[in-house]
Amino acid sequence: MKKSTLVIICLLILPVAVYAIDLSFGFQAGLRTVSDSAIKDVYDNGPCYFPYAAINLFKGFTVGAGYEFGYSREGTIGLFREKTTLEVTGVQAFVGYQYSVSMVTPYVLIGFGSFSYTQTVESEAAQTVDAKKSTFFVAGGVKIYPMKNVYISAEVKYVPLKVKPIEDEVDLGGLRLMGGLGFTFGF
Amino acid sequence: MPENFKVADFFEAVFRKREVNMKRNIYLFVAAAFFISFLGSLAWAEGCAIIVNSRSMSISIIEYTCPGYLFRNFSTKVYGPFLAGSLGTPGDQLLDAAGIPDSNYVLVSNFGQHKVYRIDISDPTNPTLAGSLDLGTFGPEDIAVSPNGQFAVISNGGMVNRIAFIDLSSFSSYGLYTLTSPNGYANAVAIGEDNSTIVLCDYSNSRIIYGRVNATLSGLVSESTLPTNNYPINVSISPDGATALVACTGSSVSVFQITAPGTLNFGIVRDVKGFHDIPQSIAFNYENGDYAYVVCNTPPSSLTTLSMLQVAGPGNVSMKKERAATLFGYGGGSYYGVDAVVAPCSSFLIASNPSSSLDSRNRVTSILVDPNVYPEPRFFPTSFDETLYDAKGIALFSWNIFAPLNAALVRLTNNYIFYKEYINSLTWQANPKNLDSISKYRVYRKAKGADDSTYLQLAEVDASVFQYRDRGLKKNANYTYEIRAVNKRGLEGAPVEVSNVVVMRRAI
Repeated sequence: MKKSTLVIICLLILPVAVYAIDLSFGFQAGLRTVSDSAIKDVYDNGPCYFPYAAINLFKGFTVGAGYEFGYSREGTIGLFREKTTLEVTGVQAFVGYQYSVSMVTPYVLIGFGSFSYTQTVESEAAQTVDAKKSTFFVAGGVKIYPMKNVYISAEVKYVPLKVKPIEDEVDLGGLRLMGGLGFTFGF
Repeated sequence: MPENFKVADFFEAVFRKREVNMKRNIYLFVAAAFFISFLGSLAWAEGCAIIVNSRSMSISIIEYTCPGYLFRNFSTKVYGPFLAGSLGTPGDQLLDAAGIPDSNYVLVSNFGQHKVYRIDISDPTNPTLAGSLDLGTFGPEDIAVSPNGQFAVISNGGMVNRIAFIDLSSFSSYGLYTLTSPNGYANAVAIGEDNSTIVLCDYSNSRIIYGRVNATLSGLVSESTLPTNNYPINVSISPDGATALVACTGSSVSVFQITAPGTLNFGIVRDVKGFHDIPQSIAFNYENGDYAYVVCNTPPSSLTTLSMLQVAGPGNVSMKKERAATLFGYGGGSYYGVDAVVAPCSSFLIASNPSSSLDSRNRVTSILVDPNVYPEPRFFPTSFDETLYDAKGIALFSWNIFAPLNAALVRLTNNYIFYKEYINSLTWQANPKNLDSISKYRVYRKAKGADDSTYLQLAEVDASVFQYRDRGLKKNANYTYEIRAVNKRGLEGAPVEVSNVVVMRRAI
């Protein structure tokens, strides 16, 4: 399901790209919050990075893909305060709409991501959690073009990510509050 | 019948099979023989004897295993001498020892300094002095400890008309009890299995003084006397508490029946006679009391001998074998009342030297007894070369390894967010009776309700650790645990068992 969804999105992007007007590359960095209070207590919010590529189609429509990483947190967990780590990464594809008003271009996105998460605990009694889950997400932001092909961006993204790898359901989702820099190349 | 069937082939096959079966049976027989030999070689009981070295003012410990049933091998190991310099000065004379049941203490009497020492022997390689008790003008000699370990009675070798009572829980004196029997003298003392009957040898008056210990464990009630043969010197009460035997230097053993606490009558056989030598000390076979052994001095030849009595029932005693063995003891005279022989099992005994001689050839003797050999029992004495020449009092002692106290199990839930770990957290406390003898604790586990034979060792923790967490359990897993202390000699003690989940606690 997850893989096939990504393939479909890519196939949709490919023919449209033939008629592409602009190609953008960008890098965003910011804060990733976590919704689950237990996760927050142990691992807390953390940094998040998102390099991406997007094709700006006709009439402000955009499609793109990127890779989210950087949320790799350490903490102590359980009755015996054992050392633990949690890492969440995700491959994401999205479609969006942007509307340019002078130097400012606000935009909204909807996407689909495949997230991998790994929890380790330094205890012989613990087991390593290593699993994946796919989910939709939404985002909105604004690009500001101080130069013709260069923009800075600010974005808020919300990813709902409820997982149950073993026995308990945990919400690994949360907000991403990110800012970044991008380049647009026109063809 | 098949076409290719041949009668000759059929019989050949039958015989071949029989040959194979015969070979298999031979192998099985040889394997069974080895297995039985192995079982026979196993010793079935163990303990130790405490030896008091009179002049060098020290103690030695003999660790033993009783002979196996099929192969009559046994083993002994001597530790010591220990505590020389801590138990008085040479010339004071240490005379007798007695183990305190349900503890790891022994008592030792110092006649010259009028003291009784309490010694912790939980570690046989390092006994330590755990207190001394000054009895004033009373010179302690023979010590008897009640089977329940609550009190001790001490005689002074017949030199005064008093005996000392000691509270063993606090190791303090109840004071000296003055015998009410006219001109009574306490030479040797024994306490019955009922923890109440006390029998004293009155050497000077050729009689026993007996009675029941009073409510405060400090004296006798219904104090009475019965005559013995000439000059009773040592007394022993059978393990069933029904027979008292008194070694008399008038070359006999007087026999008494204990019919009720503090009540004695003459035995069915009143005196066992026929001794060529002079009885000095007597002890029942501790295992079942079917035999008694008498250590005798032979003043003309200066040899120490051993005789064997048969105990057919309460008060029914006869000579089984006189001069059954010659011991490694030389010299006449004696320390009155000192217990000089112990018989921990029916076929094994240890004897020290009851004489006052300091002959350098003196040794403690271990004796293997084969009591059921026709026409009479066989005795195989061996000397302990490591033991000092001045060994006098001897007492049996079993090391006790007491179960840990206040064991508890708490079920914990450890939240790893994505899943939970279930933990049985065990806690316990050191048993102070074990003193400093414990080297570690072992934790065993079985499924709750399963047979005890399914217990498997789960962990071993240091003696300073009093908890263990059985981690990574399934939610519905229920177990029962045993916790056992292990002493410094590697012996495992009695278990304490826990299985009830008392508290549920959850934490992140």
